[in-house]
Amino acid sequence: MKKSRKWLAMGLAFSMIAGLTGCGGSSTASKSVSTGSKGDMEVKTFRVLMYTDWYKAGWQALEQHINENSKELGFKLEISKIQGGSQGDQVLQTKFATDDLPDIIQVYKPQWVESYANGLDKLVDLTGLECVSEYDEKALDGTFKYNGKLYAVPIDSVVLSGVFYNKKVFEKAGVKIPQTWDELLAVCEKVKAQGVTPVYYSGKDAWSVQPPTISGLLNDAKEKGTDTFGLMEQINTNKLKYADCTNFVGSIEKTKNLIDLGYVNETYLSDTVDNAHQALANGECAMYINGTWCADNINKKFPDKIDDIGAFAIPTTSGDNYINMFTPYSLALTTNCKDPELGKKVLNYIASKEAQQIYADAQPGVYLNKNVTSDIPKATEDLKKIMDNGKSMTDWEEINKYAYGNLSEPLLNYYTGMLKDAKEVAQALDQETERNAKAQGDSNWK
Amino acid sequence: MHSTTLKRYSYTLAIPGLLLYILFFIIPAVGGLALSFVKILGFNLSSARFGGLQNYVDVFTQPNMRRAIGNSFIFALVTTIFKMGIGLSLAIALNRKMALTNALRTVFFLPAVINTVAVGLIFSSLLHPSNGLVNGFLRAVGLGGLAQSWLVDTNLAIFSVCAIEIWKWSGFTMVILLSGMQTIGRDYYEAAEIDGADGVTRFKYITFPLLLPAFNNALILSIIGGLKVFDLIQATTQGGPGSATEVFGTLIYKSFGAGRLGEGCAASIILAVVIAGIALPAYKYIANREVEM
Amino acid sequence: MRRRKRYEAILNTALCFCALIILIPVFMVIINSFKNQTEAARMNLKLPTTWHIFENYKEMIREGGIFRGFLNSTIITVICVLLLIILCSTMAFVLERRKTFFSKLIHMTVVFGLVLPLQIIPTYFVCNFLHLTHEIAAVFVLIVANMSFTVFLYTGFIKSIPIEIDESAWIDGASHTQLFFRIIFPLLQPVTVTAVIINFMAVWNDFGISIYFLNSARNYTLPLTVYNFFGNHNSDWQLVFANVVLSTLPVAIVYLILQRHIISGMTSGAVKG
Repeated sequence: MKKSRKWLAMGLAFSMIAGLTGCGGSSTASKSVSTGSKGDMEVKTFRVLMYTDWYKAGWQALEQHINENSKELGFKLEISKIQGGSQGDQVLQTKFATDDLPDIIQVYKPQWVESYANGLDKLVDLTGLECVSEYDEKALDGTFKYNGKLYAVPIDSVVLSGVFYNKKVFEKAGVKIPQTWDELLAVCEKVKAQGVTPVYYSGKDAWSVQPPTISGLLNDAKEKGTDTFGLMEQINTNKLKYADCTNFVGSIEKTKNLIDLGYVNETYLSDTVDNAHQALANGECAMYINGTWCADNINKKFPDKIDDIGAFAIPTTSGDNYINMFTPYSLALTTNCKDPELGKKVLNYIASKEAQQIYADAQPGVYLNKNVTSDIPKATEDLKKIMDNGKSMTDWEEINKYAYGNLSEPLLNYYTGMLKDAKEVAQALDQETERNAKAQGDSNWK
Repeated sequence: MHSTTLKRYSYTLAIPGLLLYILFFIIPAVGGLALSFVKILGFNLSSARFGGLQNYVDVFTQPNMRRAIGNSFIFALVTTIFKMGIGLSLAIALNRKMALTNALRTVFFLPAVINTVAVGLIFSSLLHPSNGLVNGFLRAVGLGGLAQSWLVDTNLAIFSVCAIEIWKWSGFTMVILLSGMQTIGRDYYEAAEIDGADGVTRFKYITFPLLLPAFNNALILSIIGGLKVFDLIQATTQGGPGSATEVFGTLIYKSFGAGRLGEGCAASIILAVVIAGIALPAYKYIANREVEM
Repeated sequence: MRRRKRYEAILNTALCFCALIILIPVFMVIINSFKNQTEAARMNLKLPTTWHIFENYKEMIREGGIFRGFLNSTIITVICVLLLIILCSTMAFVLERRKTFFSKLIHMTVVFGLVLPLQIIPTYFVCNFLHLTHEIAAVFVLIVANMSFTVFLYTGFIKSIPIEIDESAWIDGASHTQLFFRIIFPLLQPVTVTAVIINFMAVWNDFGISIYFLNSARNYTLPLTVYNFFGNHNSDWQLVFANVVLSTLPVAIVYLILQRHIISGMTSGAVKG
């Protein structure tokens, strides 16, 4: 009797282990591309992984379209989503490290995979996809096409960032779009006299304090006769420090001046991006500096107000103003895909005009595919014109190797008085860069 | 005798649990310990090489380290004092038969059940300096001078976060203490009544000494929870504005977030050692004072 | 006597005032889940001008995949809590009673889990190495994450059960499993109830662990469903609050049902023999 009990307990322990490995077996089985045999054509299912925040109306429509027409297309999608943000980045990094990857993965961009996940060798080279002809060579170069290989195709739209303004407020205050920083200050003064908050900051969502400071960095790139790619190349290899980018430090100081001059909403540390959109739409503030997300959100929530909103480039001292461009996300094929040839076809389809148009119809925006048309808000149109005139640069943070997402913290410390001057903000960024570079064993920081 | 005892309490019963614990806690913990001595590229294990104590040095040279340590201790100290104080008061007040008792006990426990993210959301809104309810109330009753930028004033924010933690967990402490009180025999109080002891004396000489084991448990959980805090800070201030409410937990999170795997592991081991160094002596000290019934 | 009555009255008023402080934020969640989008965005305590109870909750349930999440959460929570109770009570019993150096060492190691933050990345590597499916990995890691506390709770309580009980059962010829499951486990009922409530709360509300393991609409638990929902409906606060209400309700109900039993078993030192 006693013995049997003992065996029972042992058995429990063993069955648990057996359970573990057994389940493991089934999990690897389910990982492989599963085949359904409906109709004449084989329909293969591709597992796609992305961040929850990236699965919006566009993907929803596209997923639905593909899965409804899977018989003609020959493939289906099964989309998994994980949380975004830095925790999500960690999950993705871990997945790269453990080779626990789906067939198709949506990432920021190939450079991110290289510097943060060390997993460029786990992406399939897509060179030769037909859909590439529908894109500007220049638009793909440097990001999607990287080190001579095409690692990914673009998905989702370009985000442009600049100053969004309420036309009615400007009209009432009798002001025009400012070209230089001094003109901007004059506009602020006049708007303030009308009892309207000139500029809205949304410090509760820490990341949103960054966009106003970027104009300086773009000017620094220009002064050095290059663009943000060139500038970040120097910073990524320890040839240049943020603290030595004088325009950048200058623009940090300017954003603080706006607060000191009383041009910013008093409770800016407690207010969110959402509050900002609402205030701008309702004319409670005149200007808000952020990406075209702003126009999209106002379009969604206050559709009757969207035509009151316009946009312009952040004015700089010299008046040579550039706007910041966030490239679309990347959709890549992983080496885990059992049928890379069909996988390439899937990506080719998704990046082609047909699929991109479906995506764009559900989620209007600026798309890289030249054949796609989209009904975008006027403010976005304003910024697109600036981009089409060649006055845009790729966002510095996307191509920054070692200080991603680290500007807002010292910036807020500066605004709240914990850091004394603007240069310290840039220095904090340099310190963070150094820490991360050293942690990665980068030989430029020996 | 000894061998019978061992047979009577054979490990077979404990093996399934221990197995899980070893597989999913001990091995990863040892892995974490190993990683804390290693320099590693990204999350790529094949690139790991021995780095000595460098990761530990890196933890201590983080720019916000001093503030984070200070805040963690403030948080642990303030919340522990108030959670224990309020929890004890509530437990004493509700340790009697009364129509309202059951309802009130449930109400006070309710915040512990609510999701932390939701708590963060609610309080960010309640404590908003201009539209928030708290300042609105203060202004309405003529105490406008007391209105504050609760969660964004760099000196005040950490205390506001403490207040939220106290709001959320005092009821939990109350429940632990209440259950401790249920075990104190009626006869002690009857004897005291005969001796003519008043309420304060009864508490001092009967309730509190006999409550010590429960009190000790609640205290230790509170200290550990306070030093380990992360969720609540993340949900209310994300360590901000800037780095005003940075604590040890958010620093660890940021190390991992920036891909500094080794440093993150080193930091969490330091944290564990610090907590153990504080919690263990505290627990032993009080446990030695417990009276046997 | 009169003095006592007045004292009672003051005490009750004070308690009700405290209860109010607790209830205002809770009320805010509930009332805002009944409003329309613009009113909910203001997040105040005013009653809604138009009530949107039905629409909000219907939209939440329809779009948020909340049923699936509810089902997954229930399955995972029930499995985790059951296993935690069985594994931890037996473990605590053996470790507490053996009193050898080795068992004390193991006990210390298990309780050390209270202070060491879970090493999630190495844990992920282990699960991956064992080829666990995501769901099973999540269950195991959730169990282990709550194990230290549960063992801590049980040992304190078991200490207070007189060893004489074991001895008499042993003499009557009970095996060690019989001794535990027939004699000891029923005595542990109060602390078991406590452990059920606390672990139920922890597993049901977990986000930090499950986020690493569960990643498709098929296996999302409630908190993950909520997060996923926010991705598409950011700042639809009325829905956010409706979701908070719906996901908190089950835990609140479990607490309400079990609270009468918790009171006598929450603390380890509850029954000093």
